[in-house]
Amino acid sequence: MKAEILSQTDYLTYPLISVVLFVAIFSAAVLWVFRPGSREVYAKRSMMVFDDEKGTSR
Amino acid sequence: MKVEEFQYDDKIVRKFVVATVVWGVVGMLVGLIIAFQLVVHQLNFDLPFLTFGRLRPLHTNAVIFAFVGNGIFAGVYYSTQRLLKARMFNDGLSKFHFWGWQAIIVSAAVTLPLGITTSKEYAELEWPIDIAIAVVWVVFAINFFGTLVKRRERHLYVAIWFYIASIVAVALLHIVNSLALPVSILKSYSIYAGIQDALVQWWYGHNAVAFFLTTPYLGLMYYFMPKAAQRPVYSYRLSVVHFWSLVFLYMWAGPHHLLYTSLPQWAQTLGTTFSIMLIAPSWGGMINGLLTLRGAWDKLRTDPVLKFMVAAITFYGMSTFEGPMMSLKSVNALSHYTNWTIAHVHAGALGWNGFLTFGMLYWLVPRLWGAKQLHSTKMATTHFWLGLVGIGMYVLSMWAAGIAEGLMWKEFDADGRLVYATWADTLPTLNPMYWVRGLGGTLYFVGVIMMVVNLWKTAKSGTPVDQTDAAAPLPEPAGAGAGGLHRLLEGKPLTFTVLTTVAVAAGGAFEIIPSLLIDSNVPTIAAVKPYTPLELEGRDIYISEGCYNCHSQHVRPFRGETERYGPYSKAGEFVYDHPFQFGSRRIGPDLHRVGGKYPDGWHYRHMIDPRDTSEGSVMPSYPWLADDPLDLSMTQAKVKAMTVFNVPYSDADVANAVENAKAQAAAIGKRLEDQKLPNAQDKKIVALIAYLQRLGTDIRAEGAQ
Repeated sequence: MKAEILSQTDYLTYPLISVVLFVAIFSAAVLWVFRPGSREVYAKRSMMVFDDEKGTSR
Repeated sequence: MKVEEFQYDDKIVRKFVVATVVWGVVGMLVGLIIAFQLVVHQLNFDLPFLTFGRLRPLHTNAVIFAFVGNGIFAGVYYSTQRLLKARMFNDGLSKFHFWGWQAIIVSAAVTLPLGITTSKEYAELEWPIDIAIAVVWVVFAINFFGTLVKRRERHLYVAIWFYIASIVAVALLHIVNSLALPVSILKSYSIYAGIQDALVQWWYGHNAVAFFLTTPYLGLMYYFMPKAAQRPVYSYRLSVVHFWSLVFLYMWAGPHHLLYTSLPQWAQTLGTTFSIMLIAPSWGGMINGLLTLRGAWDKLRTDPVLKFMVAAITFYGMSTFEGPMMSLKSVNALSHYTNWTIAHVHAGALGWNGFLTFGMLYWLVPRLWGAKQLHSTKMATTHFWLGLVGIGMYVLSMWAAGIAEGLMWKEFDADGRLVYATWADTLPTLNPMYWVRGLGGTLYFVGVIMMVVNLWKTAKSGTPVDQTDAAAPLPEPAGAGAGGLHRLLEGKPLTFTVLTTVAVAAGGAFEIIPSLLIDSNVPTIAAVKPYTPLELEGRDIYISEGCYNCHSQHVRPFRGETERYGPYSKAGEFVYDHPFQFGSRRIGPDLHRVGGKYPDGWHYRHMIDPRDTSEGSVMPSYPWLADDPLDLSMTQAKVKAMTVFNVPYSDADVANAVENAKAQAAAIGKRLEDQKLPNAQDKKIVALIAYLQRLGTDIRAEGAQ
């Protein structure tokens, strides 16, 4: 049964769908990081590593 | 706004730091030993637990899981608490994670030299230890995600994304690749066979590089590099884009370890294509790390921490360009199985992982032990230069060796005959390069010892820090306040984790599932039959002695290989190989067509002392194989286990397994006697001879298609 199902499936569309999906998601991610107002947000986020620099050790 | 006071757990970080240093010394020392064993075979000492085949997996496991593993945990525990402004979720889980991981390492150190191994690279540990790894990893995950839940900082900094991806991906990789059927407490067989096992193994193997050696270290880079440089990361935007690209693309690259094998072409092409695409996100990380120092490059002159980190990131960039180049079929045709692969691995391991670990340790130790400063900046700088020169010697010599041997294997004279027809003909060219490599590794190791002394003295000058006081405002409710949109992803760990899991799982699913379901990927060869019971035992001895570390079993479709070994290997020949034994190096020749090439007595003499049959061989001697009794107590269980995988043994085959094995052993023993050698029919060597004599012979059967 597995062989019958597999033999009926059209595989050629899968790579095409995958490429479209990948390009769409990648483009969306790039657009997202360049959204208006993001510069200040990310500048603030990149400073997070320094938040702990006034701790007291014991 | 109300501020809460709490403490970061630094004691657990100190524990992991100590473990990192200790296992680093152990793992690298084993690496030095095996490096010199390749030029001085006497360094195998004729002892089973010291042979190259048994020690090489110990080296790889020690440096990857013990050294880098503890380094990851040290850095993750330190940075996660501070980035999330929360103490680790549960101190008890932290301790269980630490001691559990060390127990796993010790169990590896005991079992691997004893020959208890699955033979799957970087997954050699047998099934009880695999279960322990899963348990400890789940504990780590609970501790980590529990800290995420109780965090006071809503936004997840980029380093945290890399940690999340690593935890999720390693779990997936470990579980899928480790699936096996136990036959005893210390022996199991992979559920996958042949070319499918190879695909799963190298999906795992490459992504152990990706999600154990790379993504956690990118996370550590994103934390410790800005801390050391006192400058924020160059481009947070770039980190978003390169993170998602990296975690999605990496998982597809595994087939680049199987180019020109009998893996279906579609899978090989996917591996190559995605490996090339991987240059972009990898270099995104490199650019982000290096340009964090923009405007402050002068700090490199005086700060050894930054020297190590910048060099580490540079080696990362080199390796992530070299790797994709080696994934091109035309390059891989030369490089596969050669020392070029070793050069590539060690540029990454010694350069990226080693140097970033050292930079992190030099930065962390003064803080964790309350020391005013590092004991000696000069010593640390000397360590850096020793390490750098050491890496240079290692990599350059292995590049030269790899290209040389790759070309020698392919060279024909004007009459169309192989120039280097005998394997030993290639060894004199390689020997000097192996010495240079050993010297380079020694320099690197000397640098590490200097680091141990330096860190020890630093620690002694201060008082160990168990906790660090901290204070942070109570977290804002999720989704509220300015920047609410970005919290759809970067502020919600569950959403983030689910999407990361999908991105990470895609590659494996699209490559592995079709290879398992579609029968035409592995064309059936009717003449291929299961191993006899004695051959199965011999195969297990081959695996136990680690023969696969030096010998491949896959003839590629090149004239240089078919002339030297015989017909190229077909996928259908490996359908009963649980696990596969393609190997990844040719320190010795390929063995897939060795069956019937030499008489039984030749194999006997070759095992007792390889120099007896092969002048100049660097192979260890295996005299114990002629003394150790052949244990057939598990033979019937092993044959029966194979039937679970639909290997076509009949009920009679199972019932008569021991008798059949003894009969075949007696026949070989008789032939050895005829060749004036000890009968040995009840010794391990006879089983190994039976297995070797079977290799690659099925397709010679009449009518094989």
